[in-house]
Amino acid sequence: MAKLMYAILDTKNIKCNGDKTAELFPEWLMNFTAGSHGVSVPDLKAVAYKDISAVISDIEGKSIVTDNTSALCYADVIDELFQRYTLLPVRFGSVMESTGAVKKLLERNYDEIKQNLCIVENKYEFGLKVYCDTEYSNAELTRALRAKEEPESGEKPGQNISADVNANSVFKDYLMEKLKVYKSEELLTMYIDNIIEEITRHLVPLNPVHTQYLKFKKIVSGIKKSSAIIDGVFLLDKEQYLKKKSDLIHTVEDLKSRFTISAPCGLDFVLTGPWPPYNFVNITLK
Amino acid sequence: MGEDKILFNSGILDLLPEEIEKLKNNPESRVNVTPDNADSGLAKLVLTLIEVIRKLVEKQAMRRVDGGTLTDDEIERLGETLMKLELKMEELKKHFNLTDDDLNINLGPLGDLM
Repeated sequence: MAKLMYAILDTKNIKCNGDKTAELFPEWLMNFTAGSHGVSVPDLKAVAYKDISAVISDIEGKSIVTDNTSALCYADVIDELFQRYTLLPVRFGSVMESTGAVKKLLERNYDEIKQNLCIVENKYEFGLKVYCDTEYSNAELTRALRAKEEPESGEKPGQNISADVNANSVFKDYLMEKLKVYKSEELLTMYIDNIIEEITRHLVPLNPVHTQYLKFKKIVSGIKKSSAIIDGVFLLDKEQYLKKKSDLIHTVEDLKSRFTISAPCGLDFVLTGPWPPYNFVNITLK
Repeated sequence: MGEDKILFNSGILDLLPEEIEKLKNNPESRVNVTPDNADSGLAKLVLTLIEVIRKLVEKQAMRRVDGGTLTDDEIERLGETLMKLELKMEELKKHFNLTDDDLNINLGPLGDLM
C-alpha cells in the first residue's frame, strides 16, 4: 500500500528501542482522528532512520485527492506534530511506494535533512504580508516617486529616445506607452524595496534573525485592488517569541503606523503564525 | 487559516473571505482539459505560455530602450514588432474566446502567473 508523507521529525531527544511509533505517537496522537477542522485523519505511523523519522499514513492508490478536505487534514497533522517536535513539513501530496522506499529516502538524504532540521530547530515561522490598496494608491505613489526621481536624474521615461524618430510614428507612441508602464513597475519595485528594508530593520532587534531567515517575495505586475505586494516569511526563536509575543505584534503595529504617517497610501499589514517551517526546507531529494 | 494564527490584521483580511470565495468558484483560474474541450483547453495552455514569453521579451526590450543603446531605426522596428506581436495575441485570444484573465493562471500560494 502506498504511503503519504507528512513530515520528517528530529527524534534525537527521544529515547526508544527499535519501533518508534509508540514513543513518537502517544495516546493523544494515536487518537487524533478529528483535527481542528473536523477532518478525520488516518492512522499515522513513523518510519525511523537513525535519529530522524518520517510520519506517514497508508493511502489507497498512488496519489491522493487534492481537495480542501485532504489539504486541511494534512495541515492539521503537521500542526499537531509541530507543537511537539522539530520537523520539516513534506510537500502536500508526496506519496512513496512503500515503507522501505520511505526509509531509503531518509537514508539517502540524511545529511541534508539533518542540516535543515538544525536550521529550524527551536524556531517558529511567521508570515508578514503587505497589501496595497491600489485603487487610490498606485497613481499617487507613482506620481510621488517620479517627482522625487526627476530632479536628480533630470530624465523622463523615454527621454533618451531620439526626437528624430518619426514624431508621428504609431510604433514609437506604442513603445512610449509600454515604457511608461515599465518605468512605473520599476518605481513600484523601488518602493517595495524600501518597505522591505524598513521591515527588516524593525524585525532584526527581535531576535538574532539572520538575513537567511528572512525571505521576501515582491509582487509588482498585475496588481489589482487590495493585492499583496510583499509576501514575507521569517523564523523567530521559539522561546523568545513565547516570552515576548507582544513585542512582535507591536513591531508590526509600528510598521503600519509608520507607513500611514509617512505615506498615506493604503498599506495594510497582516502578521500570521506561528507556522511550521514550510518556507525554510531546502532539500533536493536524491 | 485558524483565527488564532492571525496575530495582527490592519483591516484587509475583512475583505479576503470574499476574494477567497471568488477564487474557489472560479473554474477559469485552472487549465481544465477534458476530452470534450481538448482543443480550447490546449489552446489556453499554449497561449498562456506564449503570453509569458511575449511579456518577457517585452520587458527585455524595455530595458534596452531605457538604456538608450538603440538606434532610431531599431526603436522604430522594435515598436512595430512588439505591436504586431500584441495584435496577433489579441487575434488568437479572440479566436479561442479567451480573455486576459483566462491566461493569467492562478498558481495557488505562488499567486497569479502574470
